[in-house]
Amino acid sequence: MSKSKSPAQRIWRFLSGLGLATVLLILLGVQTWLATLEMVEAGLLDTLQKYFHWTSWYVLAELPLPFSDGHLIVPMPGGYWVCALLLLNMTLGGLIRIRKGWKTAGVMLAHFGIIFMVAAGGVAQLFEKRGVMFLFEGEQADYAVSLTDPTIEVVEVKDGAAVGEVHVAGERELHGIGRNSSRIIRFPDLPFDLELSGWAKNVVVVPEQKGSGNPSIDGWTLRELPLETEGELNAAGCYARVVREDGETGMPFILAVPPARSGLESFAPYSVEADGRTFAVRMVKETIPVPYAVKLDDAIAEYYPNSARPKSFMSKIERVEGESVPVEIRMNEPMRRGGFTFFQRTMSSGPQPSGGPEFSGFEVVSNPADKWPEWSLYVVTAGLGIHFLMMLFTSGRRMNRKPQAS
Amino acid sequence: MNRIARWILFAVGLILFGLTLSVVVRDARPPVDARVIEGYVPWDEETLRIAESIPVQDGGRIKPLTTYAGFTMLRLYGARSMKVKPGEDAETVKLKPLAWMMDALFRPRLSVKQPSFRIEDSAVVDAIGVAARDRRDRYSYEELEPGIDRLMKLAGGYAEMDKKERSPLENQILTLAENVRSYEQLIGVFGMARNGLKMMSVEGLPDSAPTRRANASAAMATAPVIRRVLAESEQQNQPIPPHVQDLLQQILHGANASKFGLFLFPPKSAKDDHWLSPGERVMNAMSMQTRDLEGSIEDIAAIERLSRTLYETPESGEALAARMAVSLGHEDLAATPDELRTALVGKAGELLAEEGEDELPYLRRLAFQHELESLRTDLVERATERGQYATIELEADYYRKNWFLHALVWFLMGTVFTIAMWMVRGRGQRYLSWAVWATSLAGLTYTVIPIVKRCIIMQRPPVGNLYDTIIFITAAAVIFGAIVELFSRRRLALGLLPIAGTILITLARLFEVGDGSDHMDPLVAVLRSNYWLTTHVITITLGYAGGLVAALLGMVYVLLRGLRLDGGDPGLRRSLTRSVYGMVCLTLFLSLVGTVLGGIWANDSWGRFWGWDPKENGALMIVLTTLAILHARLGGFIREWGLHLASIFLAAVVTFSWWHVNLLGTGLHNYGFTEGGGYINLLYLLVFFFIGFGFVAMIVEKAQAAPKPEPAPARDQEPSGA
Repeated sequence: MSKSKSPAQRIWRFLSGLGLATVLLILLGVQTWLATLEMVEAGLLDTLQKYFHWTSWYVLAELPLPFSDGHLIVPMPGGYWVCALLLLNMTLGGLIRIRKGWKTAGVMLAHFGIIFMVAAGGVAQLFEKRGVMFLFEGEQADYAVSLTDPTIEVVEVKDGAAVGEVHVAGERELHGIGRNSSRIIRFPDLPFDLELSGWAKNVVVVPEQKGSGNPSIDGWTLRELPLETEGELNAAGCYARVVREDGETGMPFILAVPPARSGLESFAPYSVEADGRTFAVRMVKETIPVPYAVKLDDAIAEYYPNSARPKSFMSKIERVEGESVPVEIRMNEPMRRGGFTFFQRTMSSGPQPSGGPEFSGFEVVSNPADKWPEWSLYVVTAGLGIHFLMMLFTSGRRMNRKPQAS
Repeated sequence: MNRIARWILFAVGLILFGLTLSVVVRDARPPVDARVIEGYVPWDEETLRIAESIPVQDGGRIKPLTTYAGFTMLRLYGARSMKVKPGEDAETVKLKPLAWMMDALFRPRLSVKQPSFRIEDSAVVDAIGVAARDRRDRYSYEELEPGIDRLMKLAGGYAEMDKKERSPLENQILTLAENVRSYEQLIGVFGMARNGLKMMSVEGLPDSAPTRRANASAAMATAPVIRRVLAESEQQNQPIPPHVQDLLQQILHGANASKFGLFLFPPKSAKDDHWLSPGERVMNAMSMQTRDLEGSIEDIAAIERLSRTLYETPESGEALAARMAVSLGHEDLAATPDELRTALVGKAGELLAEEGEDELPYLRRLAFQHELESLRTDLVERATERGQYATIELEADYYRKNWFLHALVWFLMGTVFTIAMWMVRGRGQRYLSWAVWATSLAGLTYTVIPIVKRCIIMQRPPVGNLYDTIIFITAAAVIFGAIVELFSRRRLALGLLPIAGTILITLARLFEVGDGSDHMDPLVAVLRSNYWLTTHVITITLGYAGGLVAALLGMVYVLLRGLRLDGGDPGLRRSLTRSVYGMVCLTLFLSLVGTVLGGIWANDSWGRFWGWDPKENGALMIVLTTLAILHARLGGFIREWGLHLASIFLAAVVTFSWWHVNLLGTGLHNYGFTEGGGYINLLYLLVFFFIGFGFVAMIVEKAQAAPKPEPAPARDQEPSGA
């Protein structure tokens, strides 16, 4: 007969127990499997949003049925929360509740390593900035453009030139806004706010179409497109209008990111007059400033001879921060500097037919936990290695002892 | 029950063995029907030996002609050997890839009659207006020729379509069009060299015979003159003389036909890594874009001599004697001792004097061998100078030895011994176990040696593509199984060694035939990192092997206990359970470390540790499954049965990660996409059959073991003790 336990003890035992760990591991495995199957049709970003975003408390997973086009709907808890609970369980069970001793040292070390790794993921999710920098040979830039996140930028214009700081409404202000809702975006330093409505993740600006039901702005309207499976190709858009300090609202206008394939950075900004000042408003993919400039000297794409198989992509750049430092960035050999890492992302495939310069595209990432997974790997490997070697040793000794006993 | 079950298992084992053997034999033997090709003369061994190690550039690397031939034949024909008959009543000739390619290159008139194109669905030939035979059949170029225009037109349209929207039939038409184009490039390689250029009569000149032919090499030598004529015509605003225009058109046409089939000639400059085809050699010379005009002319002259010897009689006794001298290993006729020289000239004279129908093929063959040897010697010297010949002989030898076929034979023998070992008891079992050890280790040796050779040839670690993973996992699984056997000494893991080897090597051979591409070709830019290939890829692949071994042991446990073959021996059960537990631990260690290493590599390549790529997800699923098994075991939620059933399930997870994700057609790990979902579904079915069987057996066993309630005494029954 076990002693009766208090509710707190029961909760403690439940949260730190192996039963919960097993269930959560199975759940996470099944979710990973279902998400992998679903991302083929729905695309990576949307699937991740559906399965593993913190706003998804539950998931209605779609399991493709064999020999048919149908799906079986499987309700499950949200992956983010399964991970969170697993992390809690691992901490409570694998570090605190676990019997301490040399026999469990390896297991504890392994648990600690995994917790550290998950923490690295959490830090990355919260603080990571990711963008691209495209440069033609001879060009220089000190900023990257986000791959996915749209932002609304407002800047004062005087004599045709931008003055003062750029006011930005980014991912935090725009997150969760939907097609059928509206939201007022506050700009405390400006004499107006913006009211956004009809937000869609992927749109195209088209001439007004009668009977479409979409609002028409100066003969133009937004047409919603299906989401691209590659999230970078989505171009968000919405209707907006100015809300002045006295509550008066202006005429609606369109804010949209140009389609990725158009090559445009932004559409012509919308002009707002307020307090006798002129402001330009536009929607673009978020700009990520880099603390130094990068100049592309040479983009070198190599292919294996007599084949279209890529052999090597290398960019010879100059990092300009006061003085100019030559650096080579290539596949598997990024440049890490000043909290940013530059990866070779894309490149023109050799000399341009027009004789123009070649280009190179870098993925620019700022992630404070960049190296944490590597450190955690050492910890996990050491922990599991110690534990399993001890088990092997013990098991071998037991096997050797057996025949003598009999 | 025990005995019956044992015999049932024996029968099932034999059937499975028979099935595997039939797959192997079918794979090794050419398709049954031999095509009759009147007058076909097989290539002699000496000629094939010379041709085998001629270096060519293909797939971005330098490889022996035999490798190029092997994978081209696999891609087009779907097998590595073909049967033809020189006449209705003649004996069948078996063509290996090199002979098949030599026909395409040097005897296209015979080659076009060979059934070189595998058609999986007769609807393909129907669609191009060619009369179809069986649903699956092989067709010659000659048979397909009437429909080739339509084929190219259809393929052009399908190529424009989104890949995902194409039907299987449309995909097959596209593949056939690609294969036909490849084949046309092959038969066109020596076309201009063989046929020469037809000279047009020049107006105003006497004795201009309209049928006179010239060599392309001779035309190349006149390139500066031709260019001057062109320049003069342009300056004087005059049309290009018709005979020059006609000549240029023929050269352009001939060069285009021989531009892509065979990149045979190393460039003169050490900095240039593009080897040149005959067509490029000709065009570069004619357009004066080469700094090696003399070398270009010599190369084309060499292939002209070579490709014509099969159709021409040697011109003089001395020339023939010179060729005989070279074929005997002398530099030339002048370098031979006087006595031999006299004898050779005499013999050559005799042969020419007696020239008859019977001698002609011999003379031509001799001449061909001589020219082929000269060309080969020249190419090898040039490749060696560039440091590109070091592994060519090794690679030719690798394919000649057919290591994996030998490995398969050893594993098959081991499987037979295993079945017998599990059927008998006592001393017989001990002797048979030695035989299983011997055959398994021989199979392992025949697997490891070619893996090492491949590493030397490829200059990289052993695993870089899906094919590499199969052969590597074969070796790893056998080694893991052997270690388990050394610990447990129950002759159960031992029996799994040859069975696993047989299954995996068969899979490798089937995959190679189905894929039809050279898996030793160099890796794409993102994979070119020997450090990560050594650490991440090998670790994760070993994890797959560990998972599969755990699952196989679990299957053995389920069969033994479910069919009561273990006689209720708790020691045996415990030993198997311990082995499975150990393998699950090893799988976790390798998969977890491998997955994290992959994340670190991804962080260095793509700037993110984790991208939810299907391949990454598959690896994570293995980690999560093994963790769930170990936690459930530790918590007492599963015991022996549960551990084994879960470990069998691990096989499904490994299959998903190893193979299935490649079929999804998405993600960044796009170096291993393939087809063949049917086989994977079969494997899933097998896994779930074992799990289902084990589950039922567990319930039955528990039901039988439950204490039976005391039967209530019948009312009219008197107490026994009364």
